[in-house]
Amino acid sequence: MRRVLAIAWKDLRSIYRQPSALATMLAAPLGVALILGLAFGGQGSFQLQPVTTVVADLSAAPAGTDGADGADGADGADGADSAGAPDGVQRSSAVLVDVLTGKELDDLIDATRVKTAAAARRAVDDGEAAVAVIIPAGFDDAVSGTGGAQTQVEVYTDPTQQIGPAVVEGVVRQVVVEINGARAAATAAARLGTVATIGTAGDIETIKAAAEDAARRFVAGGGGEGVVIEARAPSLPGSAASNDPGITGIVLAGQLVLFTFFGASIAARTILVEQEEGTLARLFTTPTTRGSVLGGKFLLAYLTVLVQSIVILLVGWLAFQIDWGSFAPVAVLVLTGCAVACGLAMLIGAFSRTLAQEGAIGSGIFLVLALLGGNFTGSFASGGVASTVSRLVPNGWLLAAWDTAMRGGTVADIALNVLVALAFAAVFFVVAAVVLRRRFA
Amino acid sequence: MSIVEVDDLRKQYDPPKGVLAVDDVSFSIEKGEIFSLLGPNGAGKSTTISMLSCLLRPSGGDARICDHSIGSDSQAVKESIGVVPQDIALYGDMSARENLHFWGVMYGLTGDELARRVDEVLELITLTERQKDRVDKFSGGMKRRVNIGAALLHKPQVLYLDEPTVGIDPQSRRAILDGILELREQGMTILYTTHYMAEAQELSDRIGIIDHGKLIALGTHEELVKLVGEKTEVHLGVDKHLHEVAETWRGIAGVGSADLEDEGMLASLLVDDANAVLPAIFLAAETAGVRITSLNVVEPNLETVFLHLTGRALRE
Repeated sequence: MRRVLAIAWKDLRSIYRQPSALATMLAAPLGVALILGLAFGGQGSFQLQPVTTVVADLSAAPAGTDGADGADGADGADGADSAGAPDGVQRSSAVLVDVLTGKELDDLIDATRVKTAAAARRAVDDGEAAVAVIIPAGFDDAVSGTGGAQTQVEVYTDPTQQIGPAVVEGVVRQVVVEINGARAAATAAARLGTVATIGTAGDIETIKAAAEDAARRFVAGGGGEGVVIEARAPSLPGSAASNDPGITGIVLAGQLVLFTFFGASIAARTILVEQEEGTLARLFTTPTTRGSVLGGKFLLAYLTVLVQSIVILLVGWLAFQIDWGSFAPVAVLVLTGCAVACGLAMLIGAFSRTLAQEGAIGSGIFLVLALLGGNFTGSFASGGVASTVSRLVPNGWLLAAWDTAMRGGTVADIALNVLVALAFAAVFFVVAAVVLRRRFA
Repeated sequence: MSIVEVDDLRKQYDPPKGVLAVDDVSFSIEKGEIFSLLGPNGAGKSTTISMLSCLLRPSGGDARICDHSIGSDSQAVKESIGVVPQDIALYGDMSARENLHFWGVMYGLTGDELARRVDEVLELITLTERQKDRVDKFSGGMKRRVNIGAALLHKPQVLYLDEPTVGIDPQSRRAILDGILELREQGMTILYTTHYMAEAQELSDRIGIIDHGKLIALGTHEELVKLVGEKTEVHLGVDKHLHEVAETWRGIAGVGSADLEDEGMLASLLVDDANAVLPAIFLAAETAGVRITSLNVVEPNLETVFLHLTGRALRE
């Protein structure tokens, strides 16, 4: 054991004296996390900026009017009624305007009102707004009529943007669907009355009026609750609280796992370095067994990435305020991640004949694993094919476990992931040991 | 009983058609002896040492070091030997002391004994003053000394030195050779490989000449020279032609032949013993009125032995 420790300690000191090794193991992952974290707005969750929207309500103007400059559009007062609407019942157009300009969607839509359609479109063309919603003249009359007349809300968008306009369009579509639903119900009721010939022409008119009123009240009242958008995060089984790790946390966890692969390979590479420099052969002429030499190299790799992991976790916690989770699952994940990294590095070293070979093969394999496992993209949590693919590689399991731990998961919550990752590590190590023993027999 | 016994040692790389690097080599080394394996590059010297170090598995044969088989008892063999590889095998980013300490641990030394042996070896290789300096800052000769010192920490019974003086300056070489002679005085058994005839001749009690994997001759320097019947060459320059006196010289007992060159102005004689025949040669010249202007005596050496045995010069 003393010889194993001596071999590990000798190389550990050497590695941590090399600036290039320190850059690869520590500076690179922290730098990548810093850059990506800043790019995505720091510590918070991924947030959409409010979409700048202009709303032109021309519903009060006669149908066919485009609200040319100077022509009257809606005056901008909330819930304004126009002639012909029953007292106290909000017009459909006003409902749509309220939804877009109301406080409930403040986080998503930053809406202002303009008087004309031209002004609305101009605001988008000039880059002052991402979306213009134009409620046409005669909108309310078309909605309240039960004769099937169509009207069209125009959503005019900036073609260079996609997410923001899509959100506004979705909101408008939701409201329009509700309006259409109400119209359909009112139309059915009116026709039912007509078909049933339940009364005189005056009765039919009464039914029609009642249906129109019902439609308006539905939109203004029951359907007029506004559009509710509920944002939810997936909750984890067994966790009472669900913390959001933030984009920086997710990125740094991915870089931690990836760069421990590189760190372990720096350590495992010492076998090839010693082979090329002749000290490995000299070691084999001493009474120190081959098992001790290889054991020392594995211990070296493990200690290297253990120190590396602890440093990255500490810096992440202190500098980026990342909450890695409870001590127990974090400790388990660090120890497991180190085992996976070492096993993989030993495996690559076992099959490499030269340092150049090991560097090229190792880098390629690590990057492929990172792409499959979602170290850069977080695909392990995205669901679908990407998430399934990430389960083909050990880092995918590790990253999913890190995500769980950072959201407040316990050891039990990550147990399956840890076991699978350790199984990968065991296979890597066994194959590496067999190949190395044969090579140095 | 010999401390090293090598029996029909054989090594073939990539059998059955691969290179036969060592072909049924057999020899023994007595305790306290310096035994040299002399041969050109590629002769099989390093391969032989690698097998005796338990680095390479022999294709055939066996060897016993301190009565331990290299095939079945390699751990005990490694505890008995110290190996100085041909190339420097040290950790450049560690100091001389750190290197020796590490190798001492690898040889199983611990605690106070390890510290004491490191001090002793540093003194032996005269690097006590530079013990804290990194090895990669050392000259080639200093690195060689640390390279040798690392193999002496555990006081091995047999020391293998694989061409330890390659590529170093004459002063460092001299220091190393003197050190080796001193080790022999202390009773260490040494197996030394080299392609330098002068080293083998100076250091060795016995020499094995190896070429193309085969041990082609074995014995003391004198035995090897006599084995091939090589004579001493005497080269004479004169002030007038030698044709008449050359006949007289050919008749002197102990003179094998006398050849003339340069229109009879230079003579090359092969003699059994230069000291015995030179007086007669000079007398004959004086009697013939010939004045000898130059004299060069070349005694037979391993170079001539190798040439005789292989048809090639040792340095080719």
